[in-house]
Amino acid sequence: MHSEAPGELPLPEGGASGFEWDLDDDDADEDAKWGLTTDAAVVGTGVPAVIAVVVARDPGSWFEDTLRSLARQEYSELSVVVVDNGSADRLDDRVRVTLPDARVIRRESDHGFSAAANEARAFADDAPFLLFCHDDVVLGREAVTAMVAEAFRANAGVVGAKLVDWNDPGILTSVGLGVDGYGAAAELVDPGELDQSQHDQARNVFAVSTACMLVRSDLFTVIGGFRQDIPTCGEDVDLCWRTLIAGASVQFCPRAVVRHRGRFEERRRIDRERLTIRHQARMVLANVEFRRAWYRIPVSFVLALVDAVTSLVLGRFRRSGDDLAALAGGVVGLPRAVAQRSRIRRYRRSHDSEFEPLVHRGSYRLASLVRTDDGQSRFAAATESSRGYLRDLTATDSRAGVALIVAVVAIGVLGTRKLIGGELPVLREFVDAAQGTRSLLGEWWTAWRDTGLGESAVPQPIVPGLGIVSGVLLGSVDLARRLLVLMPLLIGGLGAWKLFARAGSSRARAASFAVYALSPVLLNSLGTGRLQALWVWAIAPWFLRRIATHAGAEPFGVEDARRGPWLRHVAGAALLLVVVGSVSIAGAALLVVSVLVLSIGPWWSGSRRAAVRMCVAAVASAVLAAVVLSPWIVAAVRSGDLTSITGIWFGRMVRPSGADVITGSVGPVTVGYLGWGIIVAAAVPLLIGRRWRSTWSVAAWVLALASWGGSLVLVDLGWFAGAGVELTLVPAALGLAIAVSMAAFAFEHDVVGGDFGVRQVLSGVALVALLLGLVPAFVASSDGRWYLPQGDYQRALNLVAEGDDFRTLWIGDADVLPLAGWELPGSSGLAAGLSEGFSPTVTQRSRLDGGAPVAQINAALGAALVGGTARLGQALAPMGIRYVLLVDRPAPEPFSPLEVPPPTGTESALREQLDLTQLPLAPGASLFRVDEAWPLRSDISGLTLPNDGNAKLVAQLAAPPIPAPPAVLGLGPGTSFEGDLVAGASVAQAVTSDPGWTLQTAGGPATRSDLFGWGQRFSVPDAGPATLGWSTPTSSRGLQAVQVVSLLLLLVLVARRRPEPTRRVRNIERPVDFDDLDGRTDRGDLDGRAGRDDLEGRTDRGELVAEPPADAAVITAEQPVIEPGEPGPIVAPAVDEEPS
Amino acid sequence: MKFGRILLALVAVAAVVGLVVWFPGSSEPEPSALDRPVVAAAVADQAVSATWYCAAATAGPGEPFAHRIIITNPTDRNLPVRVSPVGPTGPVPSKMFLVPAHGPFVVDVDREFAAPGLSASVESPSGQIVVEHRLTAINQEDQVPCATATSDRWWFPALDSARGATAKVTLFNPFPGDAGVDIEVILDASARTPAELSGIVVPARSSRVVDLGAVVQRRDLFAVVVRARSGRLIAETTQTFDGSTGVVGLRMNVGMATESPRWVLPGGFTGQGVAESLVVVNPTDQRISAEVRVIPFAGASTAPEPIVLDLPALRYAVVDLSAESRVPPVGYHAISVATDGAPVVVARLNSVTGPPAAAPAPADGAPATAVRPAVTSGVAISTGSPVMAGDWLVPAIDAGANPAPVVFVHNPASTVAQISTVPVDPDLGADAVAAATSTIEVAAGDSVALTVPPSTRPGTSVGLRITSMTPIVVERLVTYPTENELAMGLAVPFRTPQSGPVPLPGR
Repeated sequence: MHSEAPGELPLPEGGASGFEWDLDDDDADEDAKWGLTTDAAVVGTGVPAVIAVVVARDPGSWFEDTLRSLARQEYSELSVVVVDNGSADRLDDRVRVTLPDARVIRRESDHGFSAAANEARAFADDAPFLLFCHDDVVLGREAVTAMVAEAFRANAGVVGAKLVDWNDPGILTSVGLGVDGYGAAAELVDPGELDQSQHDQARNVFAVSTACMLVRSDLFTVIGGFRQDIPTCGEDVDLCWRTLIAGASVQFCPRAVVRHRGRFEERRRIDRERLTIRHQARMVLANVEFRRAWYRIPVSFVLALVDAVTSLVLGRFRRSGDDLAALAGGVVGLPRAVAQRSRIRRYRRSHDSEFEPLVHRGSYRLASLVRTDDGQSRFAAATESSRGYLRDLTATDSRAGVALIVAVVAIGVLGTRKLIGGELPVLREFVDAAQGTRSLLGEWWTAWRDTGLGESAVPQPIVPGLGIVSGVLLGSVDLARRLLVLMPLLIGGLGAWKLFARAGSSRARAASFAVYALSPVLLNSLGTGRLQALWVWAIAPWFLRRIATHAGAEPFGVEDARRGPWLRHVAGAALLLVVVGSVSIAGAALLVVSVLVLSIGPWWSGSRRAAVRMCVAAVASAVLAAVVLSPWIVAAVRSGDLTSITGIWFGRMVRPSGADVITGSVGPVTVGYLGWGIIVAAAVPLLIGRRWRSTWSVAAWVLALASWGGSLVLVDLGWFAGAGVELTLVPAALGLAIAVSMAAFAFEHDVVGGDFGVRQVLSGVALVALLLGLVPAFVASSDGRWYLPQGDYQRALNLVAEGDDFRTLWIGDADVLPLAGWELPGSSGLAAGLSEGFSPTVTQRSRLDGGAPVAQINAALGAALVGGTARLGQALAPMGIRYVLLVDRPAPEPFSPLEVPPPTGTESALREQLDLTQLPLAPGASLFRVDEAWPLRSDISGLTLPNDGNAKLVAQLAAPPIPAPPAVLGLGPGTSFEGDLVAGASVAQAVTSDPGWTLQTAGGPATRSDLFGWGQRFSVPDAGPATLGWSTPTSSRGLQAVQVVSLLLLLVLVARRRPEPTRRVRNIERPVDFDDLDGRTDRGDLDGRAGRDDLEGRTDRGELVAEPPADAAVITAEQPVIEPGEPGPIVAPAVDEEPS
Repeated sequence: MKFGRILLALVAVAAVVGLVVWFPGSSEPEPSALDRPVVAAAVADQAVSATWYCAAATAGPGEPFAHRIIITNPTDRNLPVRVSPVGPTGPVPSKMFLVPAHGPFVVDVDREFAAPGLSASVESPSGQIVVEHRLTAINQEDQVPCATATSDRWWFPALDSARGATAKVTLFNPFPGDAGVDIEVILDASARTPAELSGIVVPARSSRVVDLGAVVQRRDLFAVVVRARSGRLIAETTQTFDGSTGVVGLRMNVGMATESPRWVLPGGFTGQGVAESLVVVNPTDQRISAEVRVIPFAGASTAPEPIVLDLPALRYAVVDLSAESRVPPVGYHAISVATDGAPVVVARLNSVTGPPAAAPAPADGAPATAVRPAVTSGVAISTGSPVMAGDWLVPAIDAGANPAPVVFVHNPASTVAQISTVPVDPDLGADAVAAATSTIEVAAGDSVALTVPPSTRPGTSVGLRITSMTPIVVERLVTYPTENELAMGLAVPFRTPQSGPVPLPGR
């Protein structure tokens, strides 16, 4: 209801959309000054000429309505120019029929609205005003008159009309745009807002829509028209913004009522959100005044990052990608922005502060995170969509499924509660991230890995990936690490929930979700620090779903259904593999193999083509992913280190039995006999399933058995340290989830409705067994962290020393080390690895050959362990190794009860080294300090060393103990160091010898030579400042280029819109009654017209209906098959259209 | 329900059952142990350097003992060796020596470093050198191989603080951290850690001598175990006997860091003027039984019935072999000690207090019966070997001594051992070495006594390399004619993957 505000006049008859208006006294005076009164409209001869510029491209039948509305304008000095913006069928004839006097300008190709509208610059001298119109508007008869009057009255540069809904003029669609300081715009009306005259007051606004926009010609010329690099989605805001900059105003004219059809996305394949974000960045870079740019632009950057991260968390991956792409585009387009700023500077007449009151306080962009595009709060939207879900789920046949889902979510949250904000220890694969974003990204960029004593190799993608994430999180590496560990839970759970989304069975989805989300394999992966297994678990259902759906394997998809581009589909699957492969290449391979095994299901059920498609797609995606991961694969192949790819090493840890492996009791979360319930439930569909229920359950069992068998073989051989047996058990977890889901499907398809018999009994057994199988997870959830140790070694070690200006040699079983160690020959699984400082980082979790230093360490350590030397420290000291740490469990007592003691005698061997001093530490760890450990870079001029520093270890150890030389060129690790050196200095660098290192001094490059057979030293010719740096080899650059380009190609392929099928639908839209603009139609009364909702099989209240209206549309082209229970495809309303 | 479905389910169940049955798993991590020496050993490969620890540098009261380190280099190249001595007050600057190939090299510690009573560590770039040390005083002389490993636990089964005897233990800590030590004394009816022997601190890189006789007074037999609360060290005892009880001489004993259920002592002997006894210590907290077998050489007589010992927890038992009627009264014999799996520590004590009886003339064609060395006084202790190996080095034998030193070779295996002996003598050319190389056979379970041939340079030490395809145990008996003393001790095995050492077979 309209509430009358003080000073306002009553609404005219006919409502807000009527064309009679009253003015208050001030307006009347103003109008009188210009000779305007309500009694004497500006309609006659002598009024300023207006040229209406209608930009049209392949308009539907409504175009004639648009033209007619222009023809019916009461404004006498109105001429019309139609810009045919590359229509497939020329518009000349159509225009000529309705508007014989109109001029048509033909553009052979579509370069966007802005370029087309800029054709008006040619007529700018012919008329004081230009009226820009879309080809889908219908103007009220007095619209132009009102806008011109408003332009005079308010001395406005730009005047916008009141836009109302095409079908229901009682609904407002635009009364101007609100714009924040960062270029984000929002309508000033809420979606679906009724026109109750609440906006019927002319006012200054920041921007108005180009759907119907009156612009002063001279202004249009001065500001250069529309920016052509903003062809649409933001061109209105930009023009208005520059209008304000030029000192003019933008005015909203409520008396000019225009019906606007909109639905632009249905006519063009554009991604409005992406374009809008991109154009916002361009506008901010160009339009913001310099005195405000210093904070507006950085804040805009931060907002984009926040938007990207939040979108990522919310699962809006496309939006997140758009944000990042816009950021990148902003950087790339900086020169263009500078040029644009230069142009704007020429006509700037007002400071930003002068139109600051029009700027929206806050950020529409952030607001959009909590509100949907249609203005609804996301919470409300979620509530609404959930209501639909819940309505379906709480139907009589789904209550059990809903209860199960709720229970599983509750158990999951309960069991993970202490990990969300609590201690997340550094152990096994849950390594520390790194020193920071810069070091993570720097490691990728320099291609110098800080593993061992450093080596020339492009690191595994998880390193730059974590760097990017932490950068997006404003440098919070800890948060990035927490996300790295915990996000898989969310992703995998959602994946399990959506695995059978198309099949429309809430029971099956609930079963899949419950079995997969509470799989002991997952819980133990979390409880024992197995990151590889976590990510493979997270991606597995998504990968299977994508492959199987596109292959048309029932129940994931329909074999004969229309499919999108194969390459795009494979690229998407490859991206999933890249995500997994970034953490675990073996895991990615495991997923591919799993899909190949599961293709047994459709093959056996007779869908041979679907099975073949699954296999081909899986292999093809693996090939594409391998290209992205090629730097790491190449490095691994080159070093001949297969375990660097598998991440699995030999260890002596407790070997789970066959029963443990099958039930998933391979860690602290044990399931006992109850765990067999899942196995029993999974076996039931073998007995009761028919058709694809049966074949998929068989395939799932084959996968599970293969996974169990393979895992047990590895267990028996002791080859499951590092990644853990959890990694190879993920396929089994997936297989069980599928099999149990098939039990639910079988119950619905094959049991319900039949006579009581064995099938019914078995179904009951499956249900009971399933519930019993979930009980152990519920019990384990009481811990709150799935028994992940609460502490790690770092706390105790930080009491000893901090920083990273030294190295630590970690020794222990390969399964308890928090880094990837090299197995010591002849030591029965004992492994050793190096960290910088005390904290192993993500890059040290992956190893390659390690180079000569690792061979030297292995030789020295191997000798020390068997009594072959008592001078281990003398071998380690020049490497910058200040501490030797022997551990026998992943975390010290009392945090970890799991112990894998090193071989008997290991500690004794270290304790009897003459140059290692034992320091007290926590139980479970023995710490030794190396006597006279060298800095990472030192001046060894004062030492008496042979030229090669004793290349052989024997000679090195036979030499008298060497005192630690002084440090030079800084203390910490890195790839670039600076400092002052004296002439004749000899600088030793404790890194793997590599010619890529150079020391530039004032007198030129220093001579590099090998030292100790593994390191290097530089002979400084002249005194002065010196720079020691690493030059990335060309081969690494090439691999990096391959990686980036292939990744971008995959992203482009995935992001590319699927071409809409060509369709031709019968025009059943009602002709526009111009009189509607003066009155109203009843809301919701479609008068038999088939709207978009109807075609989706929904009523306008969002309810699903059984069948679309029979007369909704006749689709003559190929039409997507609507799955039972799924919303139908979005089909354009009943119009004649054939977009190119 | 179709048969096919039932068959599918049965196959699945069978597969699951099969996996459960075939893979029992293990509840404990797979046990593993490093191949570390349990006795002093040289390393034929895998070594990038070798370190030997010679702890004892002094013994009883009165006149000082000369401390010499004897380094035997069996390789064919000269080796640099660094000797780093430490005394009670800390380290002394080390010195480098070049040890010639194929032979022993003697370092007079007292003279080289101008200080008495220095323990020393000897480092070499080769694992093959063998280091022993010798203490010498008037009528008192003994030598033993130094230790190659350190421990936090050292056993000394047989000590004597009776009249005329001194018992001292040298605690040698060559490491950069202090060591805290408790010395537990095991008597015939009790075990205790006296306050004076508790919490002894041995500072880093120093040595300390503890007079056990001052604490454990007037005991003709007691055992001690040196336990390190923190740190690691090397412990070695020295005992002197001044003849008050008829026995004169010096006994040096590097402690045993290892307990074992099986021990072999190849070179025991009895005869006129000889006292021999065996001490078996039960280090466990359980009562155990041990079986002692005396095995006469070359089947000289029928092996006596085993002697079974009943050992309470943390107690010792003594077998007086000289008085045991089952043991042949004359001749060499090996001694084997075995338990039912419980570890024990053993020591054999030999003392000579008079000349040997005249050897009976052998019957025609019969081999001569080996008899005890022809010294008239002396004491010796041997702790035997818990391992056997195929490659041994007998270091630093004075081949010109009279009576000649003896090397005992015991074959604990069940097959005949073919052993070859190669002299390690810098003065011998290749031809001479080849000529001096000999091969003999040792029957399964039997032993032989090899008399070392005279050296080309009397008065100098030589070594003897003994190899066998079948693992054997080698012991050495050295006599000191000038001091009228003797020393006994295990030879030094070489550690290789092929030749061991490996634990002795079960009984």
